[in-house]
Amino acid sequence: MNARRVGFLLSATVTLLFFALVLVMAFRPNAVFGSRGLIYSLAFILLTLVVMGGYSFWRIAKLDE
Amino acid sequence: MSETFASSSFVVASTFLLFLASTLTITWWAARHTRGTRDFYAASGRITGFQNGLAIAGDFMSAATFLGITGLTYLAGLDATIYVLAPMVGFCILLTLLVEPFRKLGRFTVSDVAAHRFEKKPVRVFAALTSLVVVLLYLVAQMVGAGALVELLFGLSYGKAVVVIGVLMVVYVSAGGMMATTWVQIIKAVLMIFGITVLAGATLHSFGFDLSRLYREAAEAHRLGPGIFAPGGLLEDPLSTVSLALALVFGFVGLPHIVMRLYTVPDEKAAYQSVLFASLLIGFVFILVFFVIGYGAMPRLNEHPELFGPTGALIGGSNMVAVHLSRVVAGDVFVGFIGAVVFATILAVVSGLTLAGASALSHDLFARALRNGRATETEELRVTRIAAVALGLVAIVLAIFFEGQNIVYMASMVFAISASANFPLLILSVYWPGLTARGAIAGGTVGLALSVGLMILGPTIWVDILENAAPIFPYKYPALFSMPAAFLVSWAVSSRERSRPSAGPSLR
Repeated sequence: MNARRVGFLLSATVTLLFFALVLVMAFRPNAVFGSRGLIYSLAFILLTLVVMGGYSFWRIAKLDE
Repeated sequence: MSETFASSSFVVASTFLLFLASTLTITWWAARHTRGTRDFYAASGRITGFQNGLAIAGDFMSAATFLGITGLTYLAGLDATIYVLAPMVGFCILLTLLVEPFRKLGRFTVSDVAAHRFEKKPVRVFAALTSLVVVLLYLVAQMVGAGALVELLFGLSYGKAVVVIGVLMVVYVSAGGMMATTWVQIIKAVLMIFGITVLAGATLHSFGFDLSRLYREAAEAHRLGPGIFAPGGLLEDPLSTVSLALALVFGFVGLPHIVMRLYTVPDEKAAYQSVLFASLLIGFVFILVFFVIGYGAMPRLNEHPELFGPTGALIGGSNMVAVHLSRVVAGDVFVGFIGAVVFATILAVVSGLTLAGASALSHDLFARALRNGRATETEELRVTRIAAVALGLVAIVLAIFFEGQNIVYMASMVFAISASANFPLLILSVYWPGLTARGAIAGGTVGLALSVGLMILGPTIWVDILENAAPIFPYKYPALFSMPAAFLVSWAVSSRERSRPSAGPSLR
């Protein structure tokens, strides 16, 4: 797997998800959130950490080879 | 000592003196072991990934982050989440896209990366100047906030507080360089994480460790009711919201004092470990600050009418939410500890910024641009120390001049400039082989000029400060316009110049 492509894909996914969340908050605050805003926020933080952890371990393993 | 800490003055004094003694001892030790520029700017790559992760977390977690996010959550509920999520996205971009290129292409500073492909001096000078603008503005914002906070917390006058902070940061940086600054950050980060964890634990304890009870009582106590779990409590017009989010995400990636930290570890593996560890720590702190402390403060503070002034506003403003909550849920001794941690946090963050600014002046402008790389290490170090003193003086004077200004807005200005001038320059110079020196400078200049100009013409400065009737630019935050403009101009100018390609190789 090409590290640059994987890096772009992961950062683009996380960035797009974040801006989708921001756009919904900005333009249609009541459309999706209801009272689930806290759950979405926590899920996003955990997803970002999992993505970063996975990518780091993969790159470190590659660098060790 | 102010009334806030009158009953815990011993704890405040002992915690803070312990912090000062340990950091000054480390600074003295670091000064004895700092020989050349690599020691001074990058601690000779001797910091481990774990230590550097703590230092990056420390660099990012300013007093504004802890006190500001707690205050915003207390005031507006869910909308504060943008300030929590945006830096996580910034860390993700830094880790997945920029750690390896920055390590391969840079040496000490942001300008090293931006200028790696260009023989031309102007790119380095421009990158150094934008770094300097970002660092100086951020430094002044931190010191304005710090002066007000120390005045409120410890009863020291604003001017004296700013001078004490300015002098200490100059001592740390000019004597101990990156090694001292890193250890100041590490000690502060440990203290801060410990303090926040205890505060969150005490808050949860006051609700019987029942999160659903915490949120139920928060909704009952807050003026927004269940609205605290939905957007709309803080964010104004949609375009300003998107613009702020853009600045927070991409501005973070271009912050010079964060980028510098990638060079303090021995290799790329340690750089990955440090960014990942910093993200985990910051994620942990954000979860506690936003989900527990901010929401927990809503019912707990409302139970204490003595914490509110005659107008119904919290004494000391929303920045004091965490401090008041510390007293309510954990007692006087702990509030003293939190006060000392806040002071330590301020000192550590301004030291990191001063080092980044001094490096831009000495390494980029003096040694590379003015002396064409022919300055000796002794000369460069002397200039760095002079630059640190000069930056300290300028920051003290500006902080006194800007007393009472809106520091959240000043900080958002820093992120907007960094996103519009630094980020396009960095990402394009690393990933787009078609970028020319002229395109880089033109794009960066447009980004810098637009971000600053639109903020001046916007509602906060044009109407609130300059007292004009209506803003010329209707939005509070300019990154939505200035950042794409910087990319567009870089692309257009470089494309026109394609017949004269850049001198060096790109990563591709």
